[in-house]
Amino acid sequence: MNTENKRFQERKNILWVDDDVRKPALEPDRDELESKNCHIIEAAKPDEFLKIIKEDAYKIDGIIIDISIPIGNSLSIEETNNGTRTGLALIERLKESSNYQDVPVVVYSVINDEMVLSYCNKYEIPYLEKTMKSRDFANKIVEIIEK
Amino acid sequence: MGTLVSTLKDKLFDLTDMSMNNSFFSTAIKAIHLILHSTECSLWSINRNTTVGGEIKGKHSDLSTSVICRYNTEKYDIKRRTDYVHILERDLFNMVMDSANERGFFRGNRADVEKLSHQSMAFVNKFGLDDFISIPIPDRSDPEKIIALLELSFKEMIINNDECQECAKIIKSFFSTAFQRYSIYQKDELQKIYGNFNGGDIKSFFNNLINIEFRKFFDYQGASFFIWDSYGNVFRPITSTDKTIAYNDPTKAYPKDNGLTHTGWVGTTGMPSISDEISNYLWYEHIEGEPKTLMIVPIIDPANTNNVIGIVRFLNKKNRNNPDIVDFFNDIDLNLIQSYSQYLSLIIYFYNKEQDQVNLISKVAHEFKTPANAIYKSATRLLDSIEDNDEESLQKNLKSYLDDIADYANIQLWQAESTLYVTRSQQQKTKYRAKKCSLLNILSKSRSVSRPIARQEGIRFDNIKIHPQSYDNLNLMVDETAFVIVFYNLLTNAIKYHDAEYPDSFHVDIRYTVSDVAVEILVEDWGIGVEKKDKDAIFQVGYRGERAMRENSSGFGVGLSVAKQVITDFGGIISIKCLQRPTTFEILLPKTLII
Repeated sequence: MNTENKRFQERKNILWVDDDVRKPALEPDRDELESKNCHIIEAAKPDEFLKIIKEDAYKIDGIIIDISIPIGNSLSIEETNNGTRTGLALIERLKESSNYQDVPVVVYSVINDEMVLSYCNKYEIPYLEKTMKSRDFANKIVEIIEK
Repeated sequence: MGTLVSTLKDKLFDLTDMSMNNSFFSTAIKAIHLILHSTECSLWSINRNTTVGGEIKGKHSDLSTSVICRYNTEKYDIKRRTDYVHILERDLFNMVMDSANERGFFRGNRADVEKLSHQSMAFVNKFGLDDFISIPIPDRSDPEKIIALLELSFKEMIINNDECQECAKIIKSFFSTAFQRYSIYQKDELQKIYGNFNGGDIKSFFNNLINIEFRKFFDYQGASFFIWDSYGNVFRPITSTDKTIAYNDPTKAYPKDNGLTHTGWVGTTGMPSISDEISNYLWYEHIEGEPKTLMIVPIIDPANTNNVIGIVRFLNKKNRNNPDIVDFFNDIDLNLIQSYSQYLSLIIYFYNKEQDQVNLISKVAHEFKTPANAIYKSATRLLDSIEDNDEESLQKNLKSYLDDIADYANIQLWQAESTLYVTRSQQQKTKYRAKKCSLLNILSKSRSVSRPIARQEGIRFDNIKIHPQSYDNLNLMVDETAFVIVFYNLLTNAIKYHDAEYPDSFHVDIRYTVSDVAVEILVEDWGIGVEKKDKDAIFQVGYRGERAMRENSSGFGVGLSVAKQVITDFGGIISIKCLQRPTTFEILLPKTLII
């Protein structure tokens, strides 16, 4: 019981925004993260993500953001560049929220073009490409959060 | 020639050597004021509203004047708005012009001073202004058009009419040329800015123009750039001097066909607009108080002069001498931005091309990498379990991971088929292999290959139904693979754009009948529907409707264009018969295809 309690207390809450987050495509990643005592709070669209941030209902230890996700109803087409840069627009919104200034953010995407990489580089946001093995991904996420 | 006239001529001639800049006119006005010993000498620009279909697009007047610069001998506290900006009565202006046409200037008495020199009667009475002269300045490139008025007020008649006529000639010629020089100077200055543009960030470039560069020549409370989004069928704001809340409102964009708004009118006609009749709603541009004056300049497509690809908009001009006063825009402002718009059009044209390409590449990469990635992850996970001798994990996950591998491989395969048809058709290299095929088999196969997408999206596959009715054995002479791609795209589109709130109630029905003239196939789905503005556009390569972009990130806008290409190549027609609930795609094929 004590071990369970300790495990629960040490559990990391990870907010993950990705339209595939509930789909089989990311199941291996989810499994690996959960095996490392991470609890995943899923947001398939920006609206869900922004609602969670606004309500501040969880103690969030880390945020994983995909780049190419649906625009939803809270962002404009212009700021997401026709939906191809939605994740970057969310990071911009996140910067406005004082509660999340110290929460580590990781970009996890298949989009690895110059614009995305230079953005991550400029704001010192770790970029992980989705082509990595699920086990490596989970290790990296835990390492970033614990750092 | 009298001494006064020759002195004026010599002084203004000397000024022509002065380099052109924003203080040129005030230097000239001061010189005239001192030489002619006026109580006040002022230069006023003439402002006009744009004529739309024979009617003036403004509420006050088609004529107003704004002070460019003035010199007073007497100290007088200028406070009133009309001391800076003045609506001109058409009758009075005509009176001035009639006289000016006859002898080159207008000369009036104390009552005319009040009406035409824009001074309060208190000023007129206080200084006993009994003589008033107004000299219209014509546009050098269009002498019929008056662009400014030079006005002189005197306590008494110091110069006689003959001298006045000579002075008017000199002043008219001098300022006509000066305005032309000023226009060239402004254009040269802005051209230098374009020369500095090296294809970098277009938003920063435009932002710099409306926040700094344009303001050097005329100032305003707000300005913004809009760029034409051909897929969205709207003008989207790209940058603004200062955002209002509405700027981030995703619904705020201007439909091109909305000619009722000034912006819509400019977008539709390609004509610029200057107006003082403006809706008092929340504008993108942050302004102080009410919106009062507006200038919109279209940016024309360099490849098609009938096409407007952008718009630059200015709101509430600031008076040059008193920034707190909202002024009218004029032809000088308009000509400057219009002449510069050719550079802006090149920038936007290449920006759009680049953006389309970047977006398409990004979407294609996303669509191909996502399934490949899913396959890789499932496979490596299984391999890890084998290497770890993790029997439990293998037992638990083997089937589901292999299912995922098969599904995502299937998705990628059919996406590749669709994409190949697009590239082939764009190169006009599509070669169909027509043979006798059962329509029911084509539809069944399309349904079958859509199963993985249905599974990924959490849709019950049983809800996708084919209703063959009495035409089970209908055979067509078509290319089977091409037709499977057509229906695969229609079905997977329907599945992807299901209403995520109600996945269980989503269903697709496929029906077909044979009429006297055609084979009619209907694909009905109870998904999110298609917006009216997207009805035709969704068949364009790369197009994704706004609702589609808001609901789903997958897809790069080729599926329906492939479907249209194939159906058209076989002599058929594809269209949307009903926009929603159910969204119905109708395909009509010629009966000659029946075999």
